[in-house]
Amino acid sequence: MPRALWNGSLSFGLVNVPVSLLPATRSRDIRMREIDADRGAPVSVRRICTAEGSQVPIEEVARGLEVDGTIVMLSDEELAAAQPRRTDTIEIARFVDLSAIDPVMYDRSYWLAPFGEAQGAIRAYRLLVEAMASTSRAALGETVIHNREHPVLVRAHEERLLLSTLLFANEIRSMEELEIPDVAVDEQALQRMISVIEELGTDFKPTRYHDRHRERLRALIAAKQKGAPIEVVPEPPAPAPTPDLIGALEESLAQIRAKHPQTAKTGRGARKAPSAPAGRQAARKRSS
Amino acid sequence: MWNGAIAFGSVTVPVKVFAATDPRSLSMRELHAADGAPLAHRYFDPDGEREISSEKVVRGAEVSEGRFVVLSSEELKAADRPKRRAVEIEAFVPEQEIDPIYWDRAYNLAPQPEGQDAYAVLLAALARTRRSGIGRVVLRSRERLVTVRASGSTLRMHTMRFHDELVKGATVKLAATTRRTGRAEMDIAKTLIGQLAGPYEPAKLKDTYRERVEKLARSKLAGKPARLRRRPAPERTDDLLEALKASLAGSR
Repeated sequence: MPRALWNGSLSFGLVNVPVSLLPATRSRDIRMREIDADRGAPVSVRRICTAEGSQVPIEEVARGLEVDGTIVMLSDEELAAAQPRRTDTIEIARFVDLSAIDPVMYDRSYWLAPFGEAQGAIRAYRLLVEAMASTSRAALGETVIHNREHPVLVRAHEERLLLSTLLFANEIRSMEELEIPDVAVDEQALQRMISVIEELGTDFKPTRYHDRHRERLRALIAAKQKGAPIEVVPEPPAPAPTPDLIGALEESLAQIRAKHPQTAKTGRGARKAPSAPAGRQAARKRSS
Repeated sequence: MWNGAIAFGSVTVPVKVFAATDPRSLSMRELHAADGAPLAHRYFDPDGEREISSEKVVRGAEVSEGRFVVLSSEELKAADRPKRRAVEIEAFVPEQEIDPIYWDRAYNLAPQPEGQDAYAVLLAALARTRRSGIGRVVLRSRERLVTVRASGSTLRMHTMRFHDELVKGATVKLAATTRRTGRAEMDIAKTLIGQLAGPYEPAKLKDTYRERVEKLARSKLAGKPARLRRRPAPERTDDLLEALKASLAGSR
């Protein structure tokens, strides 16, 4: 089990569930370090006092906030006092439909694990998982992680509780600034576009997608290590816009059908659901 | 931030890409506790003895214990070699099948003047089919897996995590319980969830911590002590069924 970032409790009503917070994602990126070119080894970064010019050890670091052009030093005690609530509690304010959360609001994901061995706590944890799974609702609350307050969403996932931090509404950029013109949709083009989408339709299978960048970067590093020259690539051009949309859609359909002749005969799972009126109705309801 | 296109088959939809979010965390400065002076981060040699100029700092990957291969940013760009500046769509999947755990960063896509019709048609078709495009795009010299989806009157693009970047739920150990969830507990829990059900109203959620820290800093600057009242902690109860019943009574 990954190491806990935090131990506290999840509370709703008068029920308290002791929980630990664990990361639910981990980066697999190849770690690039800052290297001292002369020495060929990682640099060390030191904090220097801008007044004295001396190195400052971590114990002597305080924090400050700039207000009206002045930096005000704030002690750990003062910052702790600014926490709006106990920081070791995730308070559930209400339960919402999972589909009501716009994907743009999601930030980071963490697992909640039952904390401690008490039977009561583990039963309360399981009860919450089961009750949320059967109602398709997610718990909305707030908490403070790493000195930042976040709205959080707790839901049942893989028979555990998964916590997602959410953004605040004022962190989402307005779409109005994009000034998207209101263009009438050409019905013929729309029908062909739907056909192309359905022909290219599959189920979402995450294991189908691998991080090719990671593999390519590894190969690049190996080549450089062997002393092979690395060819610098120019900035790629933007593709030319399609002059005739309907023509391009028809050409695409022909290409896809030629490539996957079996699709035309059997039809993939893809084509079933969206065209059934009942399914469409249900889907619309879920997202409202 | 980026001009390119969404591409699949023979279709290209020219778009401009913008960040969809603008995180607003408190930007705290590091200070020297002794004199309140701001701290600067400076590069030192690996022993931490001699300061070095930033031109001497290069990027490298460790290939074996203590051995690093240095790559310039130009060389790093050579890893992914896209033929064109485009989001190359591979498939269209039912929107509902993508679990939110995959979402990473969000971007807004706006049409370029010559692509307004294609943009409107793609947006309408994605909304109608309730599907999202899954594709790849090189952003800041790194290929990403992305979803392109309809969001109201806009196409949005989300970078996604790869499946091997997710920590499986099964790694979270659950100790065995001596008995299964009781019917009574389950019924009350569901009723309680129903009673606490409500809409998701993001505009009503405020970053009170940020507001309070700013207020604290302002009053300290003015030489006045800040008075911050904290919300009380919830009471603790150990009997699950009793706690559920009491909560239910309280929420009515």
